Amino acid sequence: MSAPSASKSYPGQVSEGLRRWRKGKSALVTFLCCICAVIVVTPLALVFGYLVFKGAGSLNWDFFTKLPAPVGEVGGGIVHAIVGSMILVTLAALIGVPVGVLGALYLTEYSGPRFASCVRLGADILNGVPSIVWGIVAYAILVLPHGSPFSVGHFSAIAGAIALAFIMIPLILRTTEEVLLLVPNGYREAALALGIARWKISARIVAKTALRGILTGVLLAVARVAGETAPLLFTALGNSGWSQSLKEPIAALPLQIFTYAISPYDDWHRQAWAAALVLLLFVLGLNVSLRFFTRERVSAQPKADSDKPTAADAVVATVATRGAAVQVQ
Amino acid sequence: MNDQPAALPETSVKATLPASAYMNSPDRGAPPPAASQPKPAIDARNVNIFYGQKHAVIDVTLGIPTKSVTAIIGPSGCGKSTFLRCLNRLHELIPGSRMNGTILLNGDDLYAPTVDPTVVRRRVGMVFQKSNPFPTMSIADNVTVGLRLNGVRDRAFLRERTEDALRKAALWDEVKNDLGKPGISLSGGQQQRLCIARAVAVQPEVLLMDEPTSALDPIATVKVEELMNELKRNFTIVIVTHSMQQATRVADQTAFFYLGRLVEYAPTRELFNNPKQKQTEAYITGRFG
Ligand SMILES: Nc1ncnc2c1ncn2[C@@H]1O[C@H](COP(=O)(O)OP(=O)(O)O)[C@@H](O)[C@H]1O
Ligand SMILES: [Mg+2]
Repeated sequence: MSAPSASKSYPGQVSEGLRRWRKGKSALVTFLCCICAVIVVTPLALVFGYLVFKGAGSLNWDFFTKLPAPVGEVGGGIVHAIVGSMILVTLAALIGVPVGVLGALYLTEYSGPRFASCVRLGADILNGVPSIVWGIVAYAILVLPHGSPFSVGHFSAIAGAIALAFIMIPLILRTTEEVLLLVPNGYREAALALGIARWKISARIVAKTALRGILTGVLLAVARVAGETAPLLFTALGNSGWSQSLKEPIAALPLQIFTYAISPYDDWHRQAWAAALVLLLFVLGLNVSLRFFTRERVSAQPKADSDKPTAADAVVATVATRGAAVQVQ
Repeated sequence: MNDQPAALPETSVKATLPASAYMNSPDRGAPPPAASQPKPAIDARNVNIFYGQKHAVIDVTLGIPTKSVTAIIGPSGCGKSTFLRCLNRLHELIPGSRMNGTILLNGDDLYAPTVDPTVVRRRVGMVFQKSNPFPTMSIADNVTVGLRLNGVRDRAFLRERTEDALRKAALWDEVKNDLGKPGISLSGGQQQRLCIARAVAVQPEVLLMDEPTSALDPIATVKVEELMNELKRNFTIVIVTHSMQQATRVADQTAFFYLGRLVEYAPTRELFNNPKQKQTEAYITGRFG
């Protein structure tokens, strides 16, 4: 068989000039889109590059293991702020994760649609509340003496953790809810038809199926609050040394960066850059390890003699990746 | 394809209606329990089911003989699934659904106020159209999930049940070396048999199947159909199918539903060869559906 000759005319054929014009237009638009995509990631590269440039030189053993040197002296570290951040975030997660996850389980597995949509709306509004507002409210309720029956009466780690927890809860609630809704109803019905109690189905089958997605949401919420500064300024306050109890002010990385950055000392400026780099590396590390989680699952390909396994497997994978997508909205 | 079940094996034809007259045929291997007073495994009386205003099942009275296969056929939307799902109280999950009437399972009223639907569902298992092994569980864990999540801890017992259920589902030889692999790594037909094994493992009295082969290829379909013939030694099976050929192949008796009503219920051969109702005849000769 001979190939149709190139010069042969066919319906819809256009002139050479018009074809070039169209090709040119298409290339231009593609190029513009590409530029926009590059613009999205440029700040990340810039921020990261700049922080490495300014801060990497100050990262040394002392920085991670020593308390700050006396004011005006060069050297010392911010170990208390790193540990303080860990304490704050861990406490916040201990409060925020159960509330957020169990709340989402209630919404998808038990509650009626009207209640669920009310809570969803509330959570969405809370997710839009600026963190400084959380800070003032936490300050009024938890810090001011006689502010409320729950008030500690002064700045404290516990107040900081609670403020962070309340930022986490609506985030986790929404991401968890989204991934639970992705779990096909067929699994719930199959489990019910086996005579399994409802709460066991929720915990051992539905939540487990969505576990990766839930974890993704939790880790992203952790990454988000790890960098929160405003609420901590009003609650945890900061501390230049170790704190002896959770009822005392406590140091945290973002607070330390803030304090050092507005100080008049060059060495503190240097350390502020280094601390900012540490914070960014922490958030970056969380995100990268998340990708790792989700990818491992996707590549665990089952036998390919039917389209079903991949479909079912994809649910687990989507459930996991959706967590990230939701968070980014 | 031939809808006339002329070649239907004689053995699959049971006694004539009423359903309460059915009993086990000894050649099936199951001894007829209390042959003197054969009772249906499921006795549904004047069942009505509503979805809000929609009257989906209208005054259905149906006795399902024990240890046999009963098929429910009818055009789509005629209430087959709805009726099936009320036999294990699964329809209750749909907001706005209501049911009245009586359903007795081996003499126990499934809808008595003191009855826990969870317990009903342990006695009446179900297999769905779309195979749905739990994606987080291995083959073995899928089989035993109904036992484990109901508090069975004994490892040896669970292993024994796994093998027993997989053998009953004609899957053991194919998966005995891969019990730790994910259930969803199996092929579509194997997954469906895994779901059957999962339902069988809790040893229900009745096994409901809602179009269990409609997502399977012909070879997998034949396997599941052969399986039903084996399973009815131990279980009472109710299958919803949109395939009349399938009903003639597997069912001892067949019920024809139309617009929410039970139009005709008879031994399969009789229903297809000699329908008493005009609507049945029209349906099985393909004049509507
Ligand atoms: N969840 C539901 N809500 C409202 N109506 C429903 C629901 N499920 C089924 N129905 C209606 O009930 C009737 C019977 O449905 P179904 O039992 O699924 O039919 P079949 O299984 O015979 O195809 C149909 O008319 C359908 O529209
Ligand atoms: Mg149906």
